[in-house]
Parts: sequence; structure tokens; C-alpha cells
Amino acid sequence: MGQLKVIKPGFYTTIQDGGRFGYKKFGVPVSGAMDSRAMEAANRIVGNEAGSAVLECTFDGGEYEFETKAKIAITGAEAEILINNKQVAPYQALEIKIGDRLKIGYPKRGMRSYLAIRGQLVVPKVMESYSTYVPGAFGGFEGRPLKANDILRWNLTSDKEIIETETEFQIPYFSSKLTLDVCPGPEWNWLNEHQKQRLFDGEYIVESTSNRMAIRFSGETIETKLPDMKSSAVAPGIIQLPPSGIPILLMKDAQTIGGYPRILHVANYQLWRAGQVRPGDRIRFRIVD
Amino acid sequence: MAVTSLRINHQSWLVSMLNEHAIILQPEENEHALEHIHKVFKVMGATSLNGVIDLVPAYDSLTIFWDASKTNKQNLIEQISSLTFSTEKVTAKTIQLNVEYSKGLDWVRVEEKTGLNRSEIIKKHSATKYKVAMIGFLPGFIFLDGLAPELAVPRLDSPRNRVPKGAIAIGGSQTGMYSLPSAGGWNIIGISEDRFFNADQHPPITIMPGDFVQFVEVG
Repeated sequence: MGQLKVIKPGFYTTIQDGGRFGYKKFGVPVSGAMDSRAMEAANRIVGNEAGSAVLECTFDGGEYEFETKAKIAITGAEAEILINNKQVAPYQALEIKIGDRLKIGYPKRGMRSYLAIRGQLVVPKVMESYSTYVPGAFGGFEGRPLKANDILRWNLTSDKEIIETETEFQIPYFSSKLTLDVCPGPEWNWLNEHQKQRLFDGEYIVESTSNRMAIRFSGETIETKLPDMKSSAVAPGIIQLPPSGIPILLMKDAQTIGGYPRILHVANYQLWRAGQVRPGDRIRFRIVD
Repeated sequence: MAVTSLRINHQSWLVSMLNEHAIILQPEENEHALEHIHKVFKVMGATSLNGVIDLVPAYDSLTIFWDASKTNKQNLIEQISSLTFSTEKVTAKTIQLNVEYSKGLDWVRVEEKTGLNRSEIIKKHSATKYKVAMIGFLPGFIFLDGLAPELAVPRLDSPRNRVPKGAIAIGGSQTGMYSLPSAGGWNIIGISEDRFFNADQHPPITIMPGDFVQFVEVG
């Protein structure tokens, strides 16, 4: 059994995995890593299954003291990583000795860092997933973000179970200007050509009220008088247009049902990238079909 | 957006895409939409369609999510089209929930907007057997169909930051229950100590869309 102690928890650090599927009919969101690609990379580097539970750090990643040895990897946002105050590289397997201190800094670019530890984190599986859903206070570590002095444990994977580790990864660059590829959503044709054009001409600035449930923007409003719709399913990646006229991009902790027109959705291959946008970033939408 | 249609159980349904791996089915006839949706939801749930990972019934739609590594839209539509339906009526259970109406937080407003007094409202509210229309937007939030029209009360002008768990509430022409504490704009007329959502149980909630709920006044 491996073990670490949280010295400083960082701004908002939770356990996340590939997500919680099969429970939407009960109103339970999918949750899971916002940047699924970074989570998968971290897991592959240490030899875990791609969707294994990892720590997702938002902004400042915190400080951890390892009480056993471990093999770890840090991926995602462009943040300084220190082991015993010595800088180390991301997207690489790191061998940790007993007593080592790991510090994940405040990112220069991007928003979320992922820490994978070889083995299986010891937290209860809730509805078939280890992901933390903080609004419901379930999943992950006691259903909440980590706090100082929390002790996190993991089971070591036996050598026989070790998956071949991968070492070659393209490390993404998180520019503060981003064009997201989007596809038409179910209510797309409720908009007229003028309104559609306005949406693609506009630049949207990510607001600080964004979180794991939704990315919120400021920018030019799209005035519409859309009919009332009956609440229907939504999902991470869906872009809603509420009467305020400013789109909302739903993310991993999004509600399961929504009543605003679902005008677009982010192309599945780019959803991970939306998980790294940070307040102040400038976003444009480009339609692909 | 390509919309096609599909026949399930002798009914015509519109098919549209939510995203790359989810389709929305909507009964073309609106009159008994909820009934058709619940029936198909129930049969699909019992059939374990290959590759389907989530079903979300709502008032006029049923959305089906699939795992793209296991199936695709074409295959899924074929599976759905060949579902068999018995002519029997779908069995639904009725759950009785104890409500302490005295713990309601918005009685003054609800009395004012309905023009009825509290005991009249409680009598009407607990006399109806409500159908569970859908569950969501939050874990275990239960939307009930069948509120007496005279009990309709507009949502609060600005939502509460914290609605207590177990709150029974009226939002416009709907009534429902909050299983978890959350923000919310519905008028709270009571609290139930019965816990209908438990993340550590399987399934986490024993009430399903299509079931019935009857409120019983206690306290």
C-alpha cells in the first residue's frame, strides 16, 4: 500500500476518473476529468489503465509528502513541478522516494494539472466511478476537494498487471486565444442566419464564474425570441443559449436535463481542450459538420 | 440537422442528434408523449441494448447515449426498431412519502398566489397521485406530473442559495422534490424526512420515471 499526506491542497483538487456512466436517468452527472486527454496520458505514463482515478488540480496544484515510494506522472496545464524544490518535467514517469515532497505550481497556461500514481487509489467506488461530484458530496475522497492533512492511499499494482508504459506524448500548448470546433445542436435551426453569423463573428471571454459544471462567457449578446422548450437531456460539450443571449458551455459536472435551446456542441475530439480554458481566455466558435 | 423518423411499438418517433454519441427520440404525437416515453424507457432498460450507456427520459423526449467503441447510430436504430413490446400495461409502483407541510418555507407566498389557505392547499396537494415524469437535472430531483392547476405558483423571483434536502416544492405548474441540498427557485411547501436518494445504494434511487408518488401529511 502506498501513501501520501496532503500538506497544502491547492485551490481545488479532486479525484476524477473517466466518468460515471449509466446514472443519468437518476439525475447523476457524468463527472470525470475535465481534460480527459491529460488524465489518460498521466495514467499511461505510469502504467495504469487510461481511465484510472487521478488527482485533478485546478490552478494551484498544492503540496504533497510521500510516505512511501511511488511512481507518478504530472500532465495537463503548464505548471512548475517541484520535487524537494527541484524542478522536474511533466509528461514523464517520476520515481518518488519516501519523504519526497511534490509541489505543483500555479499554471502559466492552461488550468488543470493531473497527477497519476501507479496503482489504484483507495477510495470507495460510488455508482461505478471514483469521480468526485462535489455538489452531491459523493465520490472521490469523501465527496469533497482535498484538505491539508488528508491521507491518500493506493494499492500497488502487481508486476503482472502492469500495462506497458507509454513515453511519447505531444504536450499541448494552451494559448489564451482558442477556436473551438462546434457542430449543430438539436435547436440550431431555431436561430436565423443573422443570429448564427453573430455567434461566429463574436469573441467570447471566459468568465471567472466558470467551473466544472459550465464555462460561462461574456461577449456580444445574441438577441433571440426563441420558443419555450420542454426540458430535455444535455451533456458535457453542449452549448446552450439562454434568454440572456450569451452562450453557456456545459462541462463534466453539468446537470443531466436543461431547458435552454441546445444550439451547438463542441466536437467530441476537442472537449478535453475546453477543460483547460481559464478566465480571461478569448474563445471563438467555428462550425464543422 | 438531419432529422429522420423511426417506428417503435406502432408509434412514429422523430430522431435527432444531441451530439456524436447520443440521439433524441420524440413521439410525433404529443398527446400521450410521456406515456409512450416511459414505456419505451422501461422496455429499453430491461432489454440491455448493446452499447447503450445512458437513457434520459424527459417530458417530450427520450435521449439515448451510447459508447462509440461498442456501437454506432445505425446499429442502435436497428436495435431499437426491433424491440418487442407486450400489449400489457406497464406496471408502475406507487411510493408513499411522508411530508411535514409545517416545515414549508414559502407558505405566505403560496397562500397569496393561490388564494387558498394552507389546509386547503395541503388537502389538494396530498390528494393527488402524481406520476414521476423525470428525474434530474440534479441527482434525485424528481419532477412530478399532475399538480392541480389551482395550486400553480410562479417560481421565486430569485432562487434560494440553499434548498434543504427533502424539500417538496411547487414551481409554476409542476411539483417536485429536492433529494440533495441545492440552489433552487421553487416554492417550498414541506419537507420529507424520507430519503429517496442514496449515492451508496444500488440503484441510488428506488423511484423510477413512470412510477407514482403519493404524499402523506405527517407532523
